[in-house]
Amino acid sequence: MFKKILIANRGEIALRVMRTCREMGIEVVAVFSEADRTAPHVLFADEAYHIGPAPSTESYLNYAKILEVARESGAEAIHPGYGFLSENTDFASDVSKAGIVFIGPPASAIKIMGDKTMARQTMLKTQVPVVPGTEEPIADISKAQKVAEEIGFPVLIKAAGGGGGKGMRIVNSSDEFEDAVGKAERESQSAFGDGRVYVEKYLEEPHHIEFQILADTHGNTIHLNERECSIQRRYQKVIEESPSPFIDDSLRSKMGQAAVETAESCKYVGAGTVEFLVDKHRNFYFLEMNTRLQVEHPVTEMVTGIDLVAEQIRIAFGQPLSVKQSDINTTGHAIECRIYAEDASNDFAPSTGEIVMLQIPDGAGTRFDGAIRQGIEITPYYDPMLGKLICWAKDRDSALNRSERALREFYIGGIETTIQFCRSVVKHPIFREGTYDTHFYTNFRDELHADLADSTDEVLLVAGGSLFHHQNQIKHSSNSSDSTKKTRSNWVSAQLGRNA
Amino acid sequence: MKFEINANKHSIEANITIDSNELVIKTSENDLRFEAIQVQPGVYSVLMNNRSFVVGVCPSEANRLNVNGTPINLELLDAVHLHLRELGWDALKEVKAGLISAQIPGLVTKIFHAPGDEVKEGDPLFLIEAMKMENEIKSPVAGTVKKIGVAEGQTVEKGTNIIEIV
Repeated sequence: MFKKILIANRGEIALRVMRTCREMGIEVVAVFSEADRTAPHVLFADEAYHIGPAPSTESYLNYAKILEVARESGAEAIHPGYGFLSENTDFASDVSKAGIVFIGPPASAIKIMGDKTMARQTMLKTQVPVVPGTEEPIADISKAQKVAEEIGFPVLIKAAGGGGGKGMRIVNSSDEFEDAVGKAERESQSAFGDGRVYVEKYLEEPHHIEFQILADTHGNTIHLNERECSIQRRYQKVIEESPSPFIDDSLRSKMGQAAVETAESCKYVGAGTVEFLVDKHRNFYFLEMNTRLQVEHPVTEMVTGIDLVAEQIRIAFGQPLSVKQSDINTTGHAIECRIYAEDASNDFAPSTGEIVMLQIPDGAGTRFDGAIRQGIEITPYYDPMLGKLICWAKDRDSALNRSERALREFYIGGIETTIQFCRSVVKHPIFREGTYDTHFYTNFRDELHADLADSTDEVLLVAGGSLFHHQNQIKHSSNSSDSTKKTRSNWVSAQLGRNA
Repeated sequence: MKFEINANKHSIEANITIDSNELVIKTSENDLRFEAIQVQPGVYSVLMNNRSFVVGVCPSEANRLNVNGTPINLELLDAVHLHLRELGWDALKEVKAGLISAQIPGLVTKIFHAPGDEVKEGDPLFLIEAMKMENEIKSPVAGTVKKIGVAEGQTVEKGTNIIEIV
């Protein structure tokens, strides 16, 4: 097995990968920017190297520097985490050329799946259904209209040069078509400087359901069931769960097969995720493949009992998968809530500052994958995700109750977070019923942002508490700053002790 | 002491008294008694009729409290604030950075600075007396005093420019 691995990332995912490495007896090398000298991943690591200034383009994306550190430290492999360099074809191939193992798929697979058109063309050669539509951007309006009529209205017109809902139009009938294409083209042009649009079937009440796959270098490819990821806002996932309350065993098995076929079509190796859209009639379509570990991978780990990072490392070392498809048995239900440093009530604007107070939930079936501690500064340089709360229980209802319980325990003071927003979602009757789709957030937006505390008692209580606190401050003003400092440093050293 | 409590759409008038760890809150409908103990800086354990609550007060966001994991945005107005509001004073919210004007009509009793002085954010700028209450006005910005528009002892109307800081 590898003796030393460099983790080319920061934050919760760096820590997540390092934990498994240490459990496997592998030494870990951290890299850090100027802003991250005291970040949790640096404290955890066996070795840590400064790689540049705070902006990620000059540090975590500076792959020449990262390769240099890998050589200097004697790391035999690099784990890229997610984001940053994880889906960078050049990085993957340069790492391999340097004689270091890239813990991820071959550069060729990243290249195929990273390009929308190439991925689609690859998938059209397989049995895996893709969303029906024009294969190329619209050049001839009457031809495009014919395609739309063949697919059947409603259809979606989408920008070829970008996402995020810009340049997108739903067309309900043939006579609206030409006008809508014109509008979408103008909108795409102004948003992305690229006016090309294409036609796709519009899926009603779609679900976003993805399958975890694992493939080794010995020709074995398996899937580890699904994750339901339909709770999104602005095309970003907030809550994920497994199993999906929407699909049954027969559909699960068909989609799992399709996921395996997708991975095989690009000669995939490692851990990957195949994303599907499923419409209300339970037709499923290939959406894209993510050629890396996903943020939400822990829900799969909780229900399958498989450590995905450990599998990634074993695969990269050349070992066969530790499990066969027939060994995959899921137990219970897992729900992940992403905790972002964002102000949910202000359109999820990023929130920066010091974490002044922190209480992380604990207890049975409660897992927190994060990289925060009291006193840490949340800077504007990186992704605003602070961590993920993953709750597992024997069935969906119990997992919901456990998530709600744990979210209530969770307290982060000093910055805005999505803790309350997640709590509103897990309490929502439609979410609890499991009958939600990707429109959930848009449909229930106002309810989700309503204040949770309504009782007069609670309001009076905090008013009293506030006044009491104020008096307390005045009473102890002479030594309060000293005692705060003392508490904090004790806490930090306790953490250091735990990490050592 | 009498207070107006504004939080999450509630607006409640209450009388709050504190005696050591005991708090008594009286409103027209409620008479609540509870005991509060600080368990770590800014975190209080509150027992009210044996019901247990944890109240968090984060030093960096004094108006945003947390009770059993639920945030509450709180505005606590005491008698002085209530009185000032009646006079048209609406906290320091309306003060434009740099140009500090009188938010209430009154008598300027003291000006702490002269043109050319450096001031830090939060430094006292002047005192204004209204309805026999003296109010210290602090600087919302850091900078240099450019101009002083009034003299000590002068009576001003609401909106009169007092100090300009650049």
